[in-house]
Amino acid sequence: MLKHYLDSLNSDSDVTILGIGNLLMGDEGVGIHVIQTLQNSYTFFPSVNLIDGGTTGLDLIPYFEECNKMIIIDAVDSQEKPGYIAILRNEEIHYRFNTKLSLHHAGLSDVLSIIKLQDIAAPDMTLIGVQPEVVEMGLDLSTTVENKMQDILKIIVDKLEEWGIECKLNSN
Amino acid sequence: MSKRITVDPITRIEGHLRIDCDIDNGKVSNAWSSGKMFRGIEEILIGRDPRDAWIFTQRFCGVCTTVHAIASVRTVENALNLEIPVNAQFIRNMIIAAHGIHDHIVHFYHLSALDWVDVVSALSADPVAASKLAQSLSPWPNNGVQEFKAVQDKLSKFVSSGQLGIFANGYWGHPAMKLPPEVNLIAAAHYLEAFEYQRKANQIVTILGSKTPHIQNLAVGGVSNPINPDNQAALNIERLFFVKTLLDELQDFIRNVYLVDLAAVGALYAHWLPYGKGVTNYLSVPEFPTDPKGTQFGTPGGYIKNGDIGTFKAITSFQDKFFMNGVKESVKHAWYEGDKTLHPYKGETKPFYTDFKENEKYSWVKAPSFNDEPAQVGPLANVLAMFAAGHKPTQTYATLALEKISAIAGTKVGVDALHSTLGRHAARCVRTNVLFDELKKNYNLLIENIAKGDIETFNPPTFPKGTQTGFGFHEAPRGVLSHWIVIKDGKIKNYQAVVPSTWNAGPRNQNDKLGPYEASLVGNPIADSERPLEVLRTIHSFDPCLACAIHVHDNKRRDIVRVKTLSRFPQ
Repeated sequence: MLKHYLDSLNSDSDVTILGIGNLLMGDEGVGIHVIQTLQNSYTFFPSVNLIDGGTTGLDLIPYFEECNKMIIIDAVDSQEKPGYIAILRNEEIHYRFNTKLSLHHAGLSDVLSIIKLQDIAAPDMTLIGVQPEVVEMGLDLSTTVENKMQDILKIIVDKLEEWGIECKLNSN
Repeated sequence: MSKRITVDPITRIEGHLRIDCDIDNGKVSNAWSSGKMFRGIEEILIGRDPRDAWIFTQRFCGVCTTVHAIASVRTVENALNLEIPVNAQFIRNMIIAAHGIHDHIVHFYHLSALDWVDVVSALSADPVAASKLAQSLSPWPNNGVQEFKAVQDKLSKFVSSGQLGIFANGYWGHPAMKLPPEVNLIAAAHYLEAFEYQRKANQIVTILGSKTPHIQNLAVGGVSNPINPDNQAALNIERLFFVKTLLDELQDFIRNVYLVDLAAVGALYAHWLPYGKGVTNYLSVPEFPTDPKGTQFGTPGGYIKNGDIGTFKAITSFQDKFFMNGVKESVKHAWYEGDKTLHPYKGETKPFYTDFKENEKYSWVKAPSFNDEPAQVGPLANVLAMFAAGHKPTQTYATLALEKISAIAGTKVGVDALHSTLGRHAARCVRTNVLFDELKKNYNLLIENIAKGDIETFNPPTFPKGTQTGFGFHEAPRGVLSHWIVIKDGKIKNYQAVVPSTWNAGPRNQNDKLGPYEASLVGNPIADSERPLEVLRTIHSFDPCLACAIHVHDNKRRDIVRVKTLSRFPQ
């Protein structure tokens, strides 16, 4: 029961993957879909923290503090074609979020400015922002975004391997 | 000259709310509250297993997730007449209290303090004078010169970086900002410290709920936490002691920082006490059940009419008919078909969008009523009910807060002052202290019960053939939350959520009476109609969150609070 919590508390891992979005609102939930896929289909060694951040804002601050390397996945309006994947790094994230970007703009931008003010941002941060096609009530991703899932996973796996983490696809 | 201003959006976080005000002679003369997002999210539940509903409902809203999970399991239990083990009540109660404390601290410091506190002014404060003042008000150990100097340096670096982030929307230097620089510095320091303490409260939710956001430990029939004092993987003594450590740290912050800061802001803005009264019918529900059926509660709730606490009528159980029969929703001024006023069991969600028509339909939020009257919900409604019911801890903390405000203001401030914008903040602080006591009490009840050998946490539900109806309520941080269900042959046939922000942000009702936001704005002073800080103050005092209040999604997100000022009558 408490496994998830204890893992996150006792984990030696300094790598956190944080998915953000609303699972009930189609492509807006892409970040959560990615976390669920990582949870179900991969084994990481050493382990990483996989966080379903939902759409909450300030609750997410501790997750930023507790790691050195972080990947955030979110639905982001980059004014591009649906399925477009934006990759932003460190200062770029802070800069872009100070303008307008995420569909959870208010929540995440507040969190980012607070972690900056408090000087607790993970030193190595990557944001994967997926351009949504359908943002309306529904539990599934659009076919366009669903078809990008392998690309998104590859970006994450490449990043993790760069950080020395072994990513094994589960056989089932 | 009469002027119309539109503030859109008005919330700092999730949700879409637009407020229109007419301004005459520097005061608000009329107001309209409009929810701008239609979601119809309840429809996603139809045909599903009622045991799964809470998993979906807690994703209704991006901010208050836990509350929809709690209300949902209570609703299904109510429909089945299912009692739950007391351990499950205690564990749920601790989650409710810890979540509430977290939410109230975040609201005061991070979502509304900047309406009253000028962060830029804090840069010109004298840290020595600030420290002397803070130490005269509170024994809190972090009010030293060094601490205040460090905060000033941090703020100064942040402000000069040009990326203001969370402070970017503030009305710095606005004429309605009245705090001296030293008080602004104290408040800014505690704003930063509050991040740490809201997190401690949330850690308690995480330990018991196994995950935040979105707790995982609930079940229709109880909770899924296995209790085993000696097992590493269960809720054990070590985890419970960690909860106790967090509790002790929280207590100091709530009593010696939050209550003191609230009193200082309340006293130094005493000229604001007459504003923001609005609707004075108050509705709240009892919370913290300690028996399996939900007939004995830690905190009372009920209905108060016309601000007269002598009219208080208690709501006494999870089966209470006075509550069940009193709630209705009107769509006369909301973007749904017709002008019906319906009970939630019969609730309909048939969109009919007409554009903003102030005398007809102008909001996606329905207008709830209690016994056909609009009602204000939230910590103020709850504190007044608890006060009326003679709840001792509430009386103690309310008296303490009012005495502190009176002492700093140098004038007597009584209970009547609570019917106001600032009163809602004061009530939230009083309630945080009450929640803390409940958290501690339920912790002790759980430990004692486990010591007696009772480790039951779950009664399995069974679903009979035919139709059942049920409702579940919860006194959530923003006020009364109720879910309503119709089950047919074990599947969900209808599901409606009447959420706190619907009660407060609703438009005019079936009798054209103003909703609580609208009524509370009338009479507010507006010093500068280009920068209507006062509107934000009053609306933010309700802790607005509309992500769940409104049932298609307006994709046009806006970067910042935008104010449109237009002359209503062409000159």
